[in-house]
Amino acid sequence: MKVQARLATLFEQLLTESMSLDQMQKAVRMVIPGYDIQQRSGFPPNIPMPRADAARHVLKVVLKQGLFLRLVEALIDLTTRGEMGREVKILLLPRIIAEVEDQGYKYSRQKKVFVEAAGRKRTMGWGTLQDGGSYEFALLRADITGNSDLVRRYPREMVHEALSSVRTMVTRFVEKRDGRIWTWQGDGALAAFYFNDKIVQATLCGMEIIHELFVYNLVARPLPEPLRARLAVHAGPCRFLRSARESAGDTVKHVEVLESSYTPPGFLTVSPNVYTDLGSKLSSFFKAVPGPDNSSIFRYGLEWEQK
Amino acid sequence: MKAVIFGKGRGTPIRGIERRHIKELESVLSDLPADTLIYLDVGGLTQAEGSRLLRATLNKAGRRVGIIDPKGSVRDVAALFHAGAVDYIRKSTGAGALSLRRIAAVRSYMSLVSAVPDDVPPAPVLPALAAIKRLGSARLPGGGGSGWEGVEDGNEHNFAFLYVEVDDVDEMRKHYEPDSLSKAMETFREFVFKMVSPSGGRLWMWSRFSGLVLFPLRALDFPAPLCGLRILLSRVLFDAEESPLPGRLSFRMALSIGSTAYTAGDPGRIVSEGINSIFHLGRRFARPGQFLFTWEAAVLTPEPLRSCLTPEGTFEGRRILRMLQPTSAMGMPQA
Repeated sequence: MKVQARLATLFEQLLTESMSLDQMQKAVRMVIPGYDIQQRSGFPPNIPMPRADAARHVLKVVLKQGLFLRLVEALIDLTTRGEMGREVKILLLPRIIAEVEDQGYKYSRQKKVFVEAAGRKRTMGWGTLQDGGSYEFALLRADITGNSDLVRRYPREMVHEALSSVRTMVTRFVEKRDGRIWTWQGDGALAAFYFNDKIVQATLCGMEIIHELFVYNLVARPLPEPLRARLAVHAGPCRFLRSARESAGDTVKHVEVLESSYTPPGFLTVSPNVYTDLGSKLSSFFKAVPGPDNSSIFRYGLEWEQK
Repeated sequence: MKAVIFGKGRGTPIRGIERRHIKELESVLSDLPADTLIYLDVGGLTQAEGSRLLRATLNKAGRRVGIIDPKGSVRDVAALFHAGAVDYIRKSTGAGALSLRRIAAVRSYMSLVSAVPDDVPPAPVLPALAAIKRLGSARLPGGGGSGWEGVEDGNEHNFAFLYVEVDDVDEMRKHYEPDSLSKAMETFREFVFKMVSPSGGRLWMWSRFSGLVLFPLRALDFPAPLCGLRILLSRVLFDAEESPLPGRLSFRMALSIGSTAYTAGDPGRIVSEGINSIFHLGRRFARPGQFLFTWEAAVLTPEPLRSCLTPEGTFEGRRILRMLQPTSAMGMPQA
């Protein structure tokens, strides 16, 4: 996020007028662990640092490191929770929030972060992730199977129309649950879910795609045969890069293997760490099947009851 | 196919269609060719007279009878069809809507209906939807328009009725506190509302554990069966995401076609055979988790959804079908 001069001035004023040096120190450490304002600013340790100087230094540091929004979020959290049982009031904070929201963000009380407001262009990192940073994600991999065969057997336009409508459907369900499509390569998508209930959201999204494909194949498909997709969900740390094609690592590799090697067409597979986080009701819809390295993975799919 | 209108008075002359006085009906009935389409104009008749003549005509084997109802006096149009009528021309259209084109459409419809065996769902036969589309241009009941726009408060209209009822209510009452149960039922009501609204369904009645959704019967499509299927599929998501109950919530559904006076306000005082009938079907015949269709609703269900229906017996003299259950592909029941 590009911080405009007016917002920067207002924030500096907020720090100066509402917070002691000690409070500023605590707030900064919420976003940069162990940070020492006085030491890092070069201010002599034996001279009390004026609040205005500290505020200016803090602002400079968070702007440089792209942590401005994180610090505002930390201050919101501080005023919500209080400090050692005491209420914390930070004057001007509501104005800062309003200014940030004017720039196309919305503070999510549930997720405790600023995210892109509805209607604003969606970015890979929800407008909140730092390029190159490592985060915990739930990743959903979806692949439409048999594309090459379809192209050989049916008119290209017809196949293109079918695949295009499935792509649109996958994107709709991912974004409905606040996920982001990171890549579409061929007919495979990699979607990421980041917020608190990311694992459940990614799994429910996969289930919804299975359901919608079931309906699509029944009533809306343009091709004489059904379209099938393989889906898999895995969760773990992953480095976020704005050019999301480059976002890689063990978590991405694992979800790709789970989808391509352990999931039959028409099914959703989740890894053991995802399964354990689903809760008893949701996990009861999955069945254990053999996975890699003698592990169990868990599968969901639909079919009609036999007549 | 010949068509004859029997009614009191002269009525509006219709090119190519003979009109006779109602008094002649019983005397000439046996002389008319077997495939004659007989229209009863019930405009000048009492309810009792109309019913008696309809019965008398239908009892003559193979007679095809349509009703012209210029005063809108027929309270339950669906009951006419259940009794064997093949066409209904209502108040707003009048006898003027009767034309040779319409008769041709009814004939096509009848040939399709008569091709349906008794013990199987109405197989590929019934593009009744297509027949109704054709008739729609002649403004069949509920035909044309785009749904609720044509539904007027206080007037009788044709609808698809989708009944939804939670299963095992007594067991739930034993296991859950009244407040928790109320909250769960409110969540379920919201779920049904959310599911039916995009398809043009309107949650019209809701008691604590059951409700009735109306879909205006339209000439161009019949979204209720697909909407019901989506509800079936979404049970899993409802249980996992929305339901505050620790266990899975089971519910049954039933779909029929009928007519009722519609009011946007409290429908509590409305009495309709169609509504009674769907409540009976849902409460007395449907078993937990089932999605049932009356034969008429099945007939209107487009392929390939119709091929997912299977016979489920008869109830109150009507053939009933059931939608097959989407189940977990690993052999686990979905609900």
